[in-house]
Amino acid sequence: MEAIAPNINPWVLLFASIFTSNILLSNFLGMCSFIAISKDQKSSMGLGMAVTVVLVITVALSWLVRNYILAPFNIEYLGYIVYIGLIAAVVQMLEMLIDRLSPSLYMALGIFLPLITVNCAILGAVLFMVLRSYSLLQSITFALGSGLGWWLAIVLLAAMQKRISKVRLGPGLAGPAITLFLIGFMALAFTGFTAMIPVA
Amino acid sequence: MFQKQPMMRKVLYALAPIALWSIYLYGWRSLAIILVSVIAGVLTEYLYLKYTDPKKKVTEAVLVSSVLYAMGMPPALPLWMVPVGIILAVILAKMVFGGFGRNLFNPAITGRALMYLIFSGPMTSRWFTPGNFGMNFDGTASPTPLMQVRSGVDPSSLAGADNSWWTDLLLGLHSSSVGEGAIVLILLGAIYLLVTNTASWRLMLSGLIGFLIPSILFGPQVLNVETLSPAIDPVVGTFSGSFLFVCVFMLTDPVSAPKKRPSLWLYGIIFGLVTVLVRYFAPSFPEGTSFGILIANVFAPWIDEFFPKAPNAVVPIKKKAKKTVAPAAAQTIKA
Repeated sequence: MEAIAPNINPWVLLFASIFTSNILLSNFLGMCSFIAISKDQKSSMGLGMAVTVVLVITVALSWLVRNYILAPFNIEYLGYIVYIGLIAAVVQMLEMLIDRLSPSLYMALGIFLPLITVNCAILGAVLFMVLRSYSLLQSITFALGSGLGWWLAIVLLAAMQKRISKVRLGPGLAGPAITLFLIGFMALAFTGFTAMIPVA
Repeated sequence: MFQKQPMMRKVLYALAPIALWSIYLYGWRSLAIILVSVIAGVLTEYLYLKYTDPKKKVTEAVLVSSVLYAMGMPPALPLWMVPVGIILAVILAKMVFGGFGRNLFNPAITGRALMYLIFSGPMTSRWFTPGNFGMNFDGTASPTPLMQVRSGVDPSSLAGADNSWWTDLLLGLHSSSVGEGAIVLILLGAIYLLVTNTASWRLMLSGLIGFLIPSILFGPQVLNVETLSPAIDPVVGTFSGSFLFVCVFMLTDPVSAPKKRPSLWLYGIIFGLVTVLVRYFAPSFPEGTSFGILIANVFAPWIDEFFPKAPNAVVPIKKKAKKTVAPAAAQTIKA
């Protein structure tokens, strides 16, 4: 049975996945690298860019694999393992390609590219795409929006971290603890957008 | 007991007429909400400091936060709910980040946003008809002007022949939060804050611009966008709900605002835009100002990164308190 794609304008979906249904702040996906690599502006920019690129490519590829391989042969139960393998393969190939074609970009992305393999935002976006049965265009804008939303969130967090970095915090609050407080506040702020635009 | 903060005192002076008027409007309920909120807020800060940093004194800023928070409560809210928000706000938004001057988020608005999430029912229904020192309380909720226009009532049909709907709107003689209805007094407070250089006119103006332009754009026959709520007249929108109060008293909080002068404009515009978006499109929240401020707070440090070389908007508050300010530094305060 082919599910019918929801009737959402892809541009609206792009806006929604950046602001109103931010994959990080409303679905809490991709948290580990978000907390670990938000100490400075430069690396958070690099990681955000890498996540965005990988998201768009993997979600588009997963859509093709799902609709042209998994669905026709009725092997959708293999989905999880196929998607995880696909993500790992894409990241690996992307790493080699970038290394070959643009060493400067490779240096800029550094360790972040391989780290993305284990970023749950990527698998999360792929599974949302399957669950909500988006069309190809919708999937791509959703992936792009999710990536940009993740990028925006990590850059905002890095800026806030910088602002509080000079402050002497109370006992037990420095480091990851205050980061979690900051993320909580970001999520609180973004609850105002809850259910503003339906995404499924 | 309190650390002296002349700036915060000026904000309290600006709030005093609003608080007094609210006692005429809602009687002892308003007084009780303000008192409970102030006591809870001061006590929280006192106890937190006592156990973490005993040398520090309680700041006067917590009085301002508590009063601002109290002004945003619906007047018939059960009194035991009032301290919940302000205790959480003082601890989570202020003390955890190192106390006064370091908080990234406005404590008063954090408290109100948390209250909306924790007690969403009472927070959006416990209104009653004001006047007579609160003797009009009859247990029934009457809708606020913002609720009326959001549900599609045309202001001109309510106004009648004598325009009483408009005068009631400006004087706060309608269902509203404790202190957010009296537009005239809020404007007087704004003028006082501007004349005494306590608040930044850039922030107030940019907040208003950021609110009015999208209000007009999403209104009828400009952008053909299907909105959830019916079109709200920009002028009615400005004077109803908590927009003006928040724009004058919370947006201008120098601690959670960005530090560079050009970023103040962006900050205010983000606040106005988010407020309008929530008012027009959000199904779950009636008013967007809390989230407008919080989202602007989240963006504030990042906006500052855009303008590394721009002049600072305000000098750090510590320097202001000192009496020996060099003439040049005094000039920058005024600018």
